[in-house]
Amino acid sequence: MSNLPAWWQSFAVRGLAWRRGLDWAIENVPFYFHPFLVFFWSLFFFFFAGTAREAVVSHLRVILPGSLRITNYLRAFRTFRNFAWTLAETASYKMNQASFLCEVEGEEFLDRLIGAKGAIVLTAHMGSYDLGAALFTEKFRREIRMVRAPEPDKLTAQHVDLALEQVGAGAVKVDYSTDGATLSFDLLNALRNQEIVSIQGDRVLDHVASAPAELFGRKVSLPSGPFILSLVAPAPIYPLFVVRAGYRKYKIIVREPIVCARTERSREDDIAAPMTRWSRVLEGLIREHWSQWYAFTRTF
Amino acid sequence: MKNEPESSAGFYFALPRLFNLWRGRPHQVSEACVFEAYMGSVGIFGVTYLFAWVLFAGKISGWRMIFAAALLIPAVWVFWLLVLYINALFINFLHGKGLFRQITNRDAQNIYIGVILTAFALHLSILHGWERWIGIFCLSGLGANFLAMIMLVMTRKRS
Repeated sequence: MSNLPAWWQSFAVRGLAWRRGLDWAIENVPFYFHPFLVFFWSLFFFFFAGTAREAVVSHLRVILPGSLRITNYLRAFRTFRNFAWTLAETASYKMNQASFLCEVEGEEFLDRLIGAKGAIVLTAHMGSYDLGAALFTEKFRREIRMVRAPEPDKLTAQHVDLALEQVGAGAVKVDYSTDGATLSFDLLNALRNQEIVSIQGDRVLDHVASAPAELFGRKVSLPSGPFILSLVAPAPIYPLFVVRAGYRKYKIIVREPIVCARTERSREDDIAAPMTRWSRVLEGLIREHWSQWYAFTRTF
Repeated sequence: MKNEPESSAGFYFALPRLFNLWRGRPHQVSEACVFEAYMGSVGIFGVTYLFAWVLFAGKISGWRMIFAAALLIPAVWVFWLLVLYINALFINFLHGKGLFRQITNRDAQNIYIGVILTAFALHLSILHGWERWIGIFCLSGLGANFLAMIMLVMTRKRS
C-alpha cells in the first residue's frame, strides 16, 4: 500500500480524496441534490469497502440474531447510508454553517453534566462524534476535550484535524489515543481543572488499555482507560450518544452517570462493576440504533 | 430543548415559499426541509433516467432491456457527477473573469441544473407515449417555480 503513489493512496477507502470531494460537493452542490449523491456514494462504498461491509454484517448477526443474510446486507447498506449522511451533514455544518434540530433524551443528566466540575463523557462510534461535540459546545457553551483514534492516512488525519478545528470553533480540543502515558496525565489534569473529557468506549485499539466485558452475550474487550481515569480523578462517567434522528436532526441521548468508587479491593475489581454497567448501556443503545453503530472493524 | 433552523436567502423551491407568503406563513428559504431535499433528488434522478431510457434503451427488448435498465442507474449518477464538475469549472472561469461574482457556486449550479432539467423535460414533452405527461408535468413545475421566484423577488424589492 505504502509503495503506491500518493495520489493513488488518497483514493483508498480512508484516503483524503473522498473527504476533499465531499467538502467540494457540500460547497458547490445545492442541498436538494444531497440525498441523490449520498445514496449513490453509499452504494459505491458498500460495494468497494468490503472489509467494513463484512464487519457490519457480522455485528448485525450478533445484534439481531435469526435474521436472514440478505436482510443483514440490506441493514448494512442502511448503516453505510447513515454514515454517509453524518459525514455530509458534518461537512454542511463546517462549510455552510448549516443549522440542525437538536433534541435531548435524559435532560436531567445533561444538566448535571453541563454543571459538572470535571466529567468524562463516554460514547461510542455512533451517530456523529465530531458534529455531536461541535453541537454540544455550541449549545451548552462548555469546552470539550475529545480523545480519538488517529486516521491511518497522514493527509486524512491533517484534514480531520482542520475540520474539527472548524466545526468546534476552538471549543473542541482534540487528543489522540496513541499519545500513551502523556495523554493519561493530560486528561487527568483536564479533569482536575474541571473540564469535560470525551472518550469513545466501544472499540479497543492495539495500544489502548482494555478489560474483558460482555456485549450481546459475547466476550469482548472494552477500553478500561476511562474507568481508571474516573477512579483516579475522581470524576463521574456520563454515557452520551449523539444519534441522527432525521434529515438535519440529531438527538443527544444521555444516560445516568456511572460512578467509579475506590475500595480496598484491586483496581481491576473496582472498575469491573462500572464496566458492566457501561456494557449494558452500550448494548441497549446499539440494539436501538444498530443502523448508526459505525464499527467498521470486527468487534465480536 | 429544540433549536429551530435558521433561514437563508435563495429561491431553490420558490413555489412553496410563495404559497407560504400568501398564507401569511414564514417564506424564507430553509435548507432543512426534508421533503424539498428528497423531492429534488427523486425528481432529478427520475427525469434524467427517463430521458436516458428514451434516448438509449427505448428500442431494445428482452434481456438487453433489463441490462440497460440496470446500467442506466449508475450511468445517471456518473452523468450528474461530470455535469456538476464541468459546471463548477465553468462557474470558476466566469468568477475568474469577474462575472456573476455575487452568485455563489451553489446558486449558479442551481441555475445550470434547472436549465439541463428543463431541456430533458422539454424533450420528453414532445414524445408521443406516456413519457410526455411526465415531461409536461416537470415543465409545469419548473415554470411555476420560475414564476414564483420572480414574484418573490418583486415582493422583496417592494417591501
